[in-house]
Amino acid sequence: MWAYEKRLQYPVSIKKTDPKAAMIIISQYGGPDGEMAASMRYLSQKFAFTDPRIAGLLNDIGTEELAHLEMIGSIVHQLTCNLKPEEIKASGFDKYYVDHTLGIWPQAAGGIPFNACEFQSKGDPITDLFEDMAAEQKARTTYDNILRMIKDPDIVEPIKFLRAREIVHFQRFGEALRMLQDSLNFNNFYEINPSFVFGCQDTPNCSGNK
Amino acid sequence: MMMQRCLSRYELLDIINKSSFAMDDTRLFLDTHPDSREALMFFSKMQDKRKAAIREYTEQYGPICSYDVAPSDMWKWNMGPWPWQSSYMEGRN
Repeated sequence: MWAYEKRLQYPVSIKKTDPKAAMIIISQYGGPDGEMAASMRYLSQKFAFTDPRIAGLLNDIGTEELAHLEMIGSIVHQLTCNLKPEEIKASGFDKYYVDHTLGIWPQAAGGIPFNACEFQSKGDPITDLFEDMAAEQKARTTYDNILRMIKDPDIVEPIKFLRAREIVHFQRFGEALRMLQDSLNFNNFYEINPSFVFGCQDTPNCSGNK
Repeated sequence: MMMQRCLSRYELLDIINKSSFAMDDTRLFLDTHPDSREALMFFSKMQDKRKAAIREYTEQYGPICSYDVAPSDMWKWNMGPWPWQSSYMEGRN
């Protein structure tokens, strides 16, 4: 289970509204490489991991991604607080506003709604870890794209923090992949699903997959 | 760690955020380096720092975590500001 802490992982305090910036940044809320996809990916994948160390890493990173989701929501919320109708129309925020007013809804910058097909939970730890590493780099690229377009230090600082976390998570997933491969026959890493080799040990009557 | 003087809400929050983040980062490192003595010691040092700051913050300014709400005749947990509101950090410095 989870317990809420009444604080953000890294503080967000934006003084100047900017609906154009909000429309770009919302992609990291519900877009293809956003924090919602990241959190749901790791928290869903963990169940099929037979190595408790790596299942725990997925749980810890998936938990941190929830905190990142909240940071992005906070940025978008503060960037669009108390907007006037003229500002909404002039900035192009009107297309979002008509459906969601100033509420936060998971979508990509281009308006495509969040969809679970943005991530996979394959039930194959090697496959999943490769996806996880790619996902961290894709999110890092997205943050780089955001940083190229936005200059307000109140936005840039938390975005830089989030970008740095992608790199750390990539490193940790890479280490997890090595840990997993060290426990396998090194002649055939990529032709098997490790969760079948070890079988499910979580249910008392589970016979595994022999 | 003893607090020398009464720290402001933002000073305490800053200690809580920094020590918690140090633990968040070290937790992931320890997940893949479980026998790193240096990381284990750093984790425990930050844990003490966080614990003291959260205790002080909770006493002075209210709970960070709803499990730590102090006995009272009024429920204050869901009083604002919430961390996603800009007023949460208003008046800093």
